[in-house]
Amino acid sequence: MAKILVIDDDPDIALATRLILEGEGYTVIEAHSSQEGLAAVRQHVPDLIVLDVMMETPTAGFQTALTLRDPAPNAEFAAYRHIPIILLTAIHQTTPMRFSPDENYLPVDAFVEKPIIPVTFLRTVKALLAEKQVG
Amino acid sequence: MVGLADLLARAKTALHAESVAVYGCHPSAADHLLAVSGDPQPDAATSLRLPIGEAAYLLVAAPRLPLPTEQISALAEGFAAACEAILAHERAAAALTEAETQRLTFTRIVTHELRAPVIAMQSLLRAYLGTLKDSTDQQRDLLNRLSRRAEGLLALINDLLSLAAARANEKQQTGVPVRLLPLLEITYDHYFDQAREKRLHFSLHADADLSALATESAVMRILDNLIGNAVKYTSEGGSVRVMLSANAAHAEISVRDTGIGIPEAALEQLGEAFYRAPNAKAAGILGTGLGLVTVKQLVAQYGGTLQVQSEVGKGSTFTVCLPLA
Repeated sequence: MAKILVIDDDPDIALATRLILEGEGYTVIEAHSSQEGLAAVRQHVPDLIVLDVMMETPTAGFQTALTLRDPAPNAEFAAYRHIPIILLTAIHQTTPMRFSPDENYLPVDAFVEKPIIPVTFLRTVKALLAEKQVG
Repeated sequence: MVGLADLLARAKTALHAESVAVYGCHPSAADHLLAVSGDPQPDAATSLRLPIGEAAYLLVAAPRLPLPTEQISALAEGFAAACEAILAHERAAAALTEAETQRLTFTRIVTHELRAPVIAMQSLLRAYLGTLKDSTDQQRDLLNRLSRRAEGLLALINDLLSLAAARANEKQQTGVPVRLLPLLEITYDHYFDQAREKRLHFSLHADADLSALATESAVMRILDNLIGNAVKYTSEGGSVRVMLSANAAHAEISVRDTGIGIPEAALEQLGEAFYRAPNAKAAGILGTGLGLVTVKQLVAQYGGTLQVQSEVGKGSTFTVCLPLA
């Protein structure tokens, strides 16, 4: 089964996300900050990353996604660039920024709003893993 | 307030000077004063230096004629007053900017702090419900009720914050050109799953992409409320049709549903804070009665209009017109 890294600084959200994913048989690794998350990417090489936006800073998740997807040929995380990323947001209604997946703006593969609706979330997880052909 | 450029022009005439400049100002005003003086470096040999106020300002002029002392004093006082006024204006502007920054920071913190625990609570409840294997119907019902109350609380927090943001600036604003179709598509996509779960005929039609004078966040809030409501108040198998078209000098967005409709008596009260139509409440559909208040507020802010046509049991059409860019 696929290995999924959940990066969220709220331990309760991380636990809820873990329970939903483990219920489907996925292996889950938790990280509670961008830094821990980036270290975990190297250590575990997950098949999918679930990433929170607001952590140590209001845009920490964006920064982490940008670091992971840095297109520079010699980028630090070039080897992990292919790992699909789901961004967890809770800001759909109150932010002036637009959070549609846009390759030029923010390189993530999907957005899921918090609080997670398990069915919708799992559908997105399955679709991204299927694209990557990991069960 | 008399502008400094104007004062300098008058000084030029009064002093019979070819050029005038102000030096030695209060640091925060110096750049501004020098910038408007037009001649920051008059010929030192012909300059006349006038100390003004508490030695904070200095008018430098190159007069062609000798001047009486009282004229020099009058000019000096005029400059001192002008400089004080500019400084006071700058201080007030800085205080306003600071207050606005603090307000935005506060809103952001409150948004996060208020929502985070409810979101965590709701996430844990949903996850727990998903893992429940051997539970009684009563246990499951209790958890579902808890989850529903958390959902209501979150909706209330979201709507209150939206309304607060919309009311932050009540004056009518001109706005900037905002492309409507991409925002309609984002909102349509956002509600697509919910609509599919209810087996709604959910469609988006646009003659062309239009730009309206507003802000992206205002349009997003308007669309989110109107389309969200239509999906929410339309029962299984119904339809929600979102349309964008040009109507004279306006961009017209209409959201037509075949939902529960709004009683005629309730139409007038629609848009009052916390008001909900009796049939919406009776149907047990979650709502705060704040969404349309926000929509009304935002539409008015950008010089637009909101119209509602509705019939109980048949459906509603909400039409928003915003000035075309």
